[in-house]
Amino acid sequence: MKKLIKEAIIYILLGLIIWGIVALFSFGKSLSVAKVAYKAFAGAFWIIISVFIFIGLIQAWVTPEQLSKYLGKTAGWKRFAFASTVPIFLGGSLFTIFPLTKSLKEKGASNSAILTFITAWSGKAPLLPLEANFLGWKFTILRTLLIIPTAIVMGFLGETILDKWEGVPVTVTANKMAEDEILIGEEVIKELDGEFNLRKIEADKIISQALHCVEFTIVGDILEKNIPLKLAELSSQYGYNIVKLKIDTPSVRLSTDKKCPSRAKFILASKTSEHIPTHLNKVRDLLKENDIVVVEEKKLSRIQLVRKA
Amino acid sequence: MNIGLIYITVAAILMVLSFVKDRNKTKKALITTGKIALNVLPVLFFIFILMGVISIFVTKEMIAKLLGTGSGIWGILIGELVGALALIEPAAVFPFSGSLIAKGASYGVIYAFASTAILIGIATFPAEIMFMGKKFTVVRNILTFALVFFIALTFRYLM
Repeated sequence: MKKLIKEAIIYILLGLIIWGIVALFSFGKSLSVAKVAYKAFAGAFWIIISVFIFIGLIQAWVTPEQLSKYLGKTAGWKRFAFASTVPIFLGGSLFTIFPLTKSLKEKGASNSAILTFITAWSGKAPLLPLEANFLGWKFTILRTLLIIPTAIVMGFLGETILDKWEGVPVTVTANKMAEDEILIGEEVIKELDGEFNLRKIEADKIISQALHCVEFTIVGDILEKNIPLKLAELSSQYGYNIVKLKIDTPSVRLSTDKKCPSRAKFILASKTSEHIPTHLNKVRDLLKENDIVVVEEKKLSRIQLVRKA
Repeated sequence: MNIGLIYITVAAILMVLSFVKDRNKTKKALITTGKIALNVLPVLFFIFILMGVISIFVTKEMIAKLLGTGSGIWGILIGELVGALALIEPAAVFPFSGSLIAKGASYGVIYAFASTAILIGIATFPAEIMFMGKKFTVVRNILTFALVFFIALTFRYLM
């Protein structure tokens, strides 16, 4: 509040100083300046007041939390339709928008959704009466409508650039791990390659020959705990294969040495059906020992397998 | 009839509706309105005086040459830079822009100025870096500047 009043005084003083300087040189001109200023203010007075009321009402009824909840729930194109339009109706300044987008990011919103959100926010619908009064409806409507495509383009372009710069979540695929230039988990890959010659294993072929396939989705310190190697060892002992191992690790966070759980998906492929319960239990035990959480475990049908391959 | 009276009537009706539905929220809304008024009115006072100065001292030829249709990409760049550097409330952007239009600035330039004034702020850089990170800030601001530039270039044909 104190800061608000201080700023208010500064602006009023600044205005008066400018006016005073004009008055020093020519009193007549300073009168004309005051006349123009008064006319502009009087003409827009009720518009200004109603805009203040609109902003107040919107901020009271539409909280950022509601919005971020909603943005978190929707997915796909709906999310972009939402992020490129709804923020137009929000009030506030850039200072208030960043804490909100930060919480959105922490809740898992992508960079593109956030960039779209911020850009769309510049639509400033509560200010439309003011904008139309001073710049005309044609300009106002055109600017507001242009916001939507601009916000979407901003989202896609921005994310592409940011991904290149920050590094995309790394995907390690077991059957071609050694070919990829991936900094993290490089040692794991080397070991895997040396001991099991994974490069020569063709995942699709294994899947097509397997009788039983189960897909695991796991979360935990997968690379830190050497899970790919351990899984590979286990599978070679028990005569099944771990294929299509994909690890998503945000490389950004790794570089800051923060511990971060990564997420992985792999398919356990077994050639025979009789040992499959034993295999599954061994894999589950191994994951449990290493504090890896199994998010999803599902048996893949033939059709799903064909699609995966 | 003054169009402002229509707006204030709508605002008053909404206020009453809000009051009927939820008193607490309406109280919050009124507090926000008061805070915004306290925040923006002094800025508007300053901007309106600036508008007066512009209308009396700055000639149409000057603005038309610097920011008019003939100013081309330089006019747009000036508009964008001024918008990015100006520490200005969004609510004050439009009255100021209106006075420039009256003096012969092109709509493309005004689009550029208004957009960067709202979306890019030197003053908000530290906050943006703190909340969203350095790379995000750099990419967002540069990309916004570039996108606004291209739209401003074609804006003239849309108006």
